[in-house]
Amino acid sequence: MHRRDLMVGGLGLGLAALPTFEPGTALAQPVTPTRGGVARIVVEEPPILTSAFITTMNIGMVSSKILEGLVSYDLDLKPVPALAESWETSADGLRTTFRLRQNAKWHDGTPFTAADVRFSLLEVWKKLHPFGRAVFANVTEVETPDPYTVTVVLSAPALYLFNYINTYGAQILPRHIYEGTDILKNPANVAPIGTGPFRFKEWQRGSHLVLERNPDYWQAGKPYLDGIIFRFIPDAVARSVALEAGEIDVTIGSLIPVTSLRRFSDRAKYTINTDDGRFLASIFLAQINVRRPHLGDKRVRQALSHAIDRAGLVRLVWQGYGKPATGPIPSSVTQYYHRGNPQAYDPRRAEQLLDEAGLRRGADGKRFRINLVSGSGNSLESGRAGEFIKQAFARIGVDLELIIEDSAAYLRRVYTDGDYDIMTSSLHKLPDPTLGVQRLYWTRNIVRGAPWTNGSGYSNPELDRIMEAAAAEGDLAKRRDLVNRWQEIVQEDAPILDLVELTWTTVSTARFRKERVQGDGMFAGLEDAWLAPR
Amino acid sequence: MSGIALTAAPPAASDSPGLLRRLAGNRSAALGGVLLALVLGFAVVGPLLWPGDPWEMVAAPMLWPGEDMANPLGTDVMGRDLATGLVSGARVSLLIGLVATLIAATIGTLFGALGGFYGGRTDAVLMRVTELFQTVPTFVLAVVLVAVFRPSVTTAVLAIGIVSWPATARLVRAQFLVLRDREFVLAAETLGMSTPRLILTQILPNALPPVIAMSTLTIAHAIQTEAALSFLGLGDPNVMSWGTIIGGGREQLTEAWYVCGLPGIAIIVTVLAFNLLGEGLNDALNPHLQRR
Repeated sequence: MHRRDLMVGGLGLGLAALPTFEPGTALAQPVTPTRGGVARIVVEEPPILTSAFITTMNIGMVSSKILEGLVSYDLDLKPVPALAESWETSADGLRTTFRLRQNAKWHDGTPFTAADVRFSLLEVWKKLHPFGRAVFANVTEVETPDPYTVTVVLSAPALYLFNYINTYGAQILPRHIYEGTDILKNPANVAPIGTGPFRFKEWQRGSHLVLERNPDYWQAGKPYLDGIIFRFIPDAVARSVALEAGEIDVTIGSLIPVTSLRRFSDRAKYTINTDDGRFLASIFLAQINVRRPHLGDKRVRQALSHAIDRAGLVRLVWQGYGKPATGPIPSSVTQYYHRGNPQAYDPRRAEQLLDEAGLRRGADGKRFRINLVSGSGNSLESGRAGEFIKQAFARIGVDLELIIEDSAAYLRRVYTDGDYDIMTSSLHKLPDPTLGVQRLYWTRNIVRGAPWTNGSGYSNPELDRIMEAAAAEGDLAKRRDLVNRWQEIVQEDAPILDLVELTWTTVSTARFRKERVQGDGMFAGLEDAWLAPR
Repeated sequence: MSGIALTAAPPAASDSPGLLRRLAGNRSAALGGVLLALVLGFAVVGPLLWPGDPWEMVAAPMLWPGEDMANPLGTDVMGRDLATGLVSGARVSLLIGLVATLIAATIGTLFGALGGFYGGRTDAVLMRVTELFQTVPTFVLAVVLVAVFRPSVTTAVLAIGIVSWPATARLVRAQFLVLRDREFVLAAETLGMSTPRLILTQILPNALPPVIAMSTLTIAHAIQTEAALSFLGLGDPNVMSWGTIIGGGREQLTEAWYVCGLPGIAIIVTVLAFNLLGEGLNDALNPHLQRR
């Protein structure tokens, strides 16, 4: 139910990680895995079962067990081999070669080869995936010199490409099933044939979905589990109760409300993993419509930013599960994170800025009135954050009217009609700013009617040039300088107030263990997961 | 004869002496009155005892009632004082209940009166419209109306009013059908009284007593509907009502039941008060009982 705003596709996938206050509890357990058993996992019911051309998160949570990508990501969001064993990029940054697993097979017995990767990249990701179009825009050709080698030829360097090729961002589909068909309507989308550790068995819509162990999996001896049952429990209270009663083993994707997490704080009985969603680099933000009266003045936007106590927001609304955001890139994206926060909590400075902008308090103590729009399908925290911001603005004399609308009306109001002053949303910033951040500031991305584009209407030709240069820069150090400049500009101009770096929680019973810690654990294959004996 | 009939017209029930005494003598009405007085008192005196903004985060989140006397009824998940919230909720709920009912009574009376008085084709058309509204589940219609026009106090009041009028319309129509052919009405008509005057001064006053009784029940229903809308997140996000508090607290039902429980009790007491009062009024205003 929650997080619908995060799942609606647009352009926000993230690679960045959230800093965690709890070290990965799955780390370093010198226990021998137990074989057998069926893990019962709760997710929100997905509409289909392949992520190759759609970004809905809960599809990824299920499909990642069946279908795989070239890599997965560790806690630092560095790529770890999956179907690609190794890779190298030429000195000019224009050719990237992947060596593939030679013992991987599709669930119907057909061998997995380079042709599958070529087909998926050119016909599925580049053409149909909402982000894939950007990620693979520079790809001019995909060469397959032998069945286990793929060379991607680029027209310009694309460092960001390595940040979006896991099973969630670039899922590899079987060419022999999809070629020559209408990919979006292929029956395999709801009964997938993959290379992953688990095979699709049964899907009872509205109730559950069953996966069984793939005995021919390319990692010898894995998976440990005999199968997985995904259960769909729409009510949050019922989910918590089911986990406590031992009826389920795992919930993925912050399905237990933060206010209930204290019930699962006993480490002997439960594990709360806060690293699984690092890859998404999600930030809760307030976007300001700079075309509105007063809000076109950057002093006013800075004042609004100074008025919000981000630490208080994290503490009260997110119950500590999150981190105050300081800029457009979350701190977990260590490669590009910019430390400075020019708009720390300072209500007096806020009032001063508003006075300077000529917006003095009236006889009733109020300066002006604006609205804040959010979607009713957004998270529970999103609504509470609106209430928090209303109080914060009241303190500096800004009267805030909260408007909550259903998701469709909210998107129309913000991206089609532009009829709002401030909107809140949770967006994936992804581990690379070119993929997840540029879209929110780029002048060319002011696209009427397209959700999750540049909806603030902010336009800065200098920033546009910097962002475009950063995208095509093949040298990491130079690229970092460009991204730093970029962050300084948007922190100063403040068309978007980044408020909270979100933490995605996976809550499980302590019996549920996993060998490897992943930054994209939400989309883990779980071949290395097992259930410890009771 | 017509003159006699005119003077024999039954006086409007609400003017009759002894109504209050009869109400007081009715046990359910008396109990309802006392409960309602309590709720009204809470709404009026409450702001003096617990002043301030119900949205202000004043203390630690999820304080239990009695844990800290600065917040005697505890705090919600964001540290907002529940007593202040309940006072705000009382005012919002009563206001919405009254205004929505006024709207329902007005529309219902208009439809019922015209249909019952004119009969024939007018009646048929008006009653088909009424049936149209009666066949749609009222709460679903209210949800749709509020969702289509952005949630606010105004849309909630209008939506509740719009879904609540058909019962009143039916009742008023039945009254008019009966009264239309009574001697005093025929007499007035024969004397050349204009139709509007006939309806307003002769029939309506005599048709109203059951409407008043029913409206009291409608208030109770309106308060429940508003709470349910807010619970679903379709309340006015700028106004703290009982339903808002319940909706915000439902995820913590197992950790802090009182966040939902206290406003829940408030709704039960208020709805019970109006129901008892409505029943009592119905007995007291019953024209048969009255004439005896």
